[in-house]
Amino acid sequence: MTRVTASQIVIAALALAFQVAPAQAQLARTYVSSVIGSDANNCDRLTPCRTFQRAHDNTLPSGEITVLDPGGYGAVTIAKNVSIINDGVGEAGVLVSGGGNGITINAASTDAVSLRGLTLKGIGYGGGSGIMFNHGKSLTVENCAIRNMTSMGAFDTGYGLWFAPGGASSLTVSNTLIADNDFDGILVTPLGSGSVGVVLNRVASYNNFAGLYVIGSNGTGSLIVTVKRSVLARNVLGVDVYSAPGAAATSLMLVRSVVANNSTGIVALSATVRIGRSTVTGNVIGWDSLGGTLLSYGDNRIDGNGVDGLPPITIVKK
Amino acid sequence: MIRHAPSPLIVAVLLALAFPSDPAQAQLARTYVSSVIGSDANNCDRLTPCRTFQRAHDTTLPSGEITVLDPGGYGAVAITKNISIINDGVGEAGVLVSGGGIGILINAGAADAVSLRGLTIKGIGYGGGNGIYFNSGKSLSVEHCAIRNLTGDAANGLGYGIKFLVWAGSSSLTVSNTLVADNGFIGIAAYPLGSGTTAQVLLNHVALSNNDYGLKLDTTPGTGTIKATVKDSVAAGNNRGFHVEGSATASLMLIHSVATNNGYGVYATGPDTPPVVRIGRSTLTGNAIGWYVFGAVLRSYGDNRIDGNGDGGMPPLTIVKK
Repeated sequence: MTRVTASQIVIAALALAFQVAPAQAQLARTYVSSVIGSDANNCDRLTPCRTFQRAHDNTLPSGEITVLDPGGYGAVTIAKNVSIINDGVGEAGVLVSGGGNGITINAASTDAVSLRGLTLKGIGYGGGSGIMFNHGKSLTVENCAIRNMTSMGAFDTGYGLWFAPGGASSLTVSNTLIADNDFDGILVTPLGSGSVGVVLNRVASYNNFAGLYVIGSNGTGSLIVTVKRSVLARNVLGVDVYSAPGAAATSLMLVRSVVANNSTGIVALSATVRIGRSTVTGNVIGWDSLGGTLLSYGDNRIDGNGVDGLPPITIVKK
Repeated sequence: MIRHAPSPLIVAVLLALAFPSDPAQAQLARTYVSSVIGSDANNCDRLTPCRTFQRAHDTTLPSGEITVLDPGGYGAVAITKNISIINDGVGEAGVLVSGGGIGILINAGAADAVSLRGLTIKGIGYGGGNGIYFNSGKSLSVEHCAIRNLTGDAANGLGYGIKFLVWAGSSSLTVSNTLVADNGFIGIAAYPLGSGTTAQVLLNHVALSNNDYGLKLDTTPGTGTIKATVKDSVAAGNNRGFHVEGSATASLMLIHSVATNNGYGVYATGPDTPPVVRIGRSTLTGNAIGWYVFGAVLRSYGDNRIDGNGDGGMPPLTIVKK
């Protein structure tokens, strides 16, 4: 007769206690793979996970998610300092539908979030938005493509990137393409009293409602936007900068950029827009100041629009 | 006595006949192609990818994406819906063109956006062909592509790198970070046809090299409009670098760009009311003729480098920056 030892009983009890989903230690670096990934894994290099969400949940704060191979990795809600990095292994995609967001950022006010090399596409079926930023210290978007976000008619979806920080925060977008969205390519609407900074560098935003829509009137802090070497084309509104008396002081500096073939190229309303070495052409209306201030460094090409707009006030370079 | 109840073998044969060789498969939002493990008998999902762009296209839901998994040739494709074909750096995703055919043909709906990323299209002769041929759709975006060596000429209508036609309404072409070289006829051509049509063209970081025409914007097939902007681009070694032809509804803004070693750097001509070309912060050098207009208007912002051309480089009329 076989005797069952106490130690065997303990092992069996432990196995039962951790049978379904053993609590796994979080890792500083996690991995996702669409080939060998499984969300039952711990997301390490040799046993990667399948989805961004599972990898995010299994990543230590300030850690990174590394993409291993091309594939779709699903929507993710980010709640901490984390980087999602695809550094050229092929498409790291997220398809958006059902009124949801591809990437939602609900991080703490000390958390920096960065996204690199992702392709987000809306596929209809209830629409959605590409990136929805609600809270965090900063968001950096590099080498991404965001397209085709659709709306069901309400103004809650259909945005490429919607930056709506509840407090002080910053947004940096570089080398990124945002196109074919029902509403705005990039919508910036700070809600709090903090200062908010936005930098776009080598961004192309086309075939959206607004290429870049900056709204300061929902907050009371300051909102400072710089757009450099970017293209805003074939939107209804190329760049629309809007605030209201008593709301966030709002300004935008547009340099070395092109605003082309929009219905209206540049709109300033209760806000200040400065433009230098930029080109405004092919728009139905080049620019329109609706109670805002448009200042030029005198080195812009504002021609070939249906109506160029009044010559802007020039300011002196220093 | 022979019983007539169907045997399992007969049932199997009947089922096979009912679903002969191509079982109707559900379409997917994202499909995959692989030259290693792909087969067009597959459903194109991640673990059982397809072999060709065409099969993947046919199996992709509208607004979906085709993701390239590994380097290889994926064949010509005719696109009929909103779709993206995305190669984001896995190696060459190639299409070879011959027999007078088309690498990528776009016959999409009027609301459909089409995007192509990271593709290499090359003509191999044997009857020539065209690289990308846009017939219909809302917009085409070409990013990080290379389109070369399409053979042909004006007589046979072949040898285009990208041929962009607008038959109705307004359509847009955006080409960025792309090389279009060594084509027999035109690197990139845009033609609005009929009346009331508009071709919106944007080139950003595009190189047009060693074609007959680098860029040709031409409204003369109809009475439509072209609104074109070219920035940070290069036309080199073409017979004509940047060519605009038509009427006052054709306009080109050429900025931060270079035309060099062409027969003509910039060539603009209009049979009736003149098309308008504006150039700023650009360089025309080493061309047989730097710029030439006949029944057209060329305006310079006075900040261009127009030197070292065979014709001595007459200064064009200037317009004032604001």
